[in-house]
Amino acid sequence: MGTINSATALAISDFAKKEKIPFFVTFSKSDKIIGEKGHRYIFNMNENTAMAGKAAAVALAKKPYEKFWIAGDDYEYGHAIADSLWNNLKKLKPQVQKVGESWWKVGEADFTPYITQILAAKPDFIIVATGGSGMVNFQKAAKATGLSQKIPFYQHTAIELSTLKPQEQNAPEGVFGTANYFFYYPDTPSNRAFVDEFKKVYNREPRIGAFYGYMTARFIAEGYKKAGKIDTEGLIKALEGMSLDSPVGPLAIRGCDHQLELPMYFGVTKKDPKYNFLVAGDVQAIQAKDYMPTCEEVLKARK
Amino acid sequence: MDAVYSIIPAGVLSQVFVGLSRTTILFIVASGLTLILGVLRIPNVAHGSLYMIGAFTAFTVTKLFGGGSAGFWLALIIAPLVVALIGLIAERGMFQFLYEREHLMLLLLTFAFSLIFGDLVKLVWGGEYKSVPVPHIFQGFVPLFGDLPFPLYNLFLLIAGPVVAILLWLLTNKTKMGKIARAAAVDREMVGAVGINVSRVFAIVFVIGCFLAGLGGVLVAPTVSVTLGMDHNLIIEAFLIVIMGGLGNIWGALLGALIFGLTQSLGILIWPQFGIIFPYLAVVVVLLFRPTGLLKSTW
Repeated sequence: MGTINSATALAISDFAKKEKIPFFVTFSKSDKIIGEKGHRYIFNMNENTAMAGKAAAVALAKKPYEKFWIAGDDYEYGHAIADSLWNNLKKLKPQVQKVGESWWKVGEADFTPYITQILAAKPDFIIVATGGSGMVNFQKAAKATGLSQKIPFYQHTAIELSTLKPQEQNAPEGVFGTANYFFYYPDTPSNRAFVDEFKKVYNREPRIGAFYGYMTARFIAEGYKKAGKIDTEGLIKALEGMSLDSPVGPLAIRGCDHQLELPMYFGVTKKDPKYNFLVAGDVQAIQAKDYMPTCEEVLKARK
Repeated sequence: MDAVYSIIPAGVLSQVFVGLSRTTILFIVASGLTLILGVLRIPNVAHGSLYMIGAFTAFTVTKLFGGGSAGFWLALIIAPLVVALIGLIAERGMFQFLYEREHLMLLLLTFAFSLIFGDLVKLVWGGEYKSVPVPHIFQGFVPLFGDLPFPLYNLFLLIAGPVVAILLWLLTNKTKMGKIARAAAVDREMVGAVGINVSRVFAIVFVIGCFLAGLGGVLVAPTVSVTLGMDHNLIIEAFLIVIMGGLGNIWGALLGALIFGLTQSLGILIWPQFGIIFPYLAVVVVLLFRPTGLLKSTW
């Protein structure tokens, strides 16, 4: 299990397929992992670019914005997430129009020139497809230029702890984002229990990676228990369709493509007196069935 | 101002000023790089790492002093000094014995240093993103051109850039040390022959160069997330600027940084989808017509 970089995930996946070893992807976001390059031995335990883009499109289609600007990191992740969001949004709300696009290099330090240019173009809404350190960089520049007060924008994972905590009270308010997990939401006994136990061991709040890792380990353990022996084919059969309780409610592994069916949370950054950093507010849960590609779509991509 | 806008639109003016503030960081870092390259003949790939260490130190100092503005101003003094100290140790402990080696050897050595520094930063500060808040008085923005907002911190950078440039000019042209350093850049044997301690001059120049890298790191910290990898992004740009301006020439670094910063910000205005290519196109054009750089190289 593991990998953050999607290229690494695809390389290991290829090896796993040849050697018939189950491989659980826990952070890589390319939709090729489970789609085009998917196979029997791969399990995707996190969301991917196609899913995140579609979830955001579902939520944004209900908002009044029509003139969109698309901006992002000029590499696969950026383009994949922006394409998925835009294509789904156009289907759900045909009257949306694209005013323009800007693409910067991965690791771009200074977003100010890009933002001042977008401000001058006056779109209703900006889709920002950044990843990694670009998340924080863009939010800081959005705050410094006043962008966050003038034009609303969306970034996948904008509302996640790893993006908001480093900025403490200085993160911009009103940024839309999507994420699979928060330690403070949903405020259920099972999530609270997970957070408490995690804090005891690591002395900090669990972030999204901890949640993916924890669920993956539990699925592997329960899978072997159900199979009754240490056996690859038995494990795969046991996991297909298996459902476990999790901090965010029951989660199942879809049988057809081995994708974990996660709810996606759409929310907006806001201050909360309980914490010294911004959190996600107005959270709405988008259920897996509403934003996951269908089995037919995934299996078609594999051919 | 309306008369001005009829000639140059507010959007263009705003992009020019944003580009100039980016130029400040690029110039400060590149001037340190070119100083070391010109006088000591070391192509210091680890210069970017020193910039990164400057930014991380700024984070720590700011945190230590309550995470507010006072912390940042202290960091502005302390962090470059910390980086300068690291530079001093590296120069006295390592580079002073290697000045006669070939450039390729030095290139590999400094590259090794950049990897070591990168891992050390990960050991000390961890892999998470860090953020330094913008000092209180520079938070927010002003409508500088028309109704287009301009970040106050970028205005501060616009002032900091020329101040550093003037100080560097005074240092290289008005002090004895600067004159010796310039002479040593042209002919180090001759300088040694007239009884000057060249080794000491080299150490001082190296430390000043590292100080500038650290200063660039502190100044950039409030505008970005302080993170591993920020060194590699910058060092490539800094080298291109130095090559474009003429190796070892501080004013070349200024000119190169101006071209780099302005082509980027204006390129975004013209063609936002492909904004990233403009600075690199500028480098290609400059080197096609002036293969040794725009200004006189000391090599």
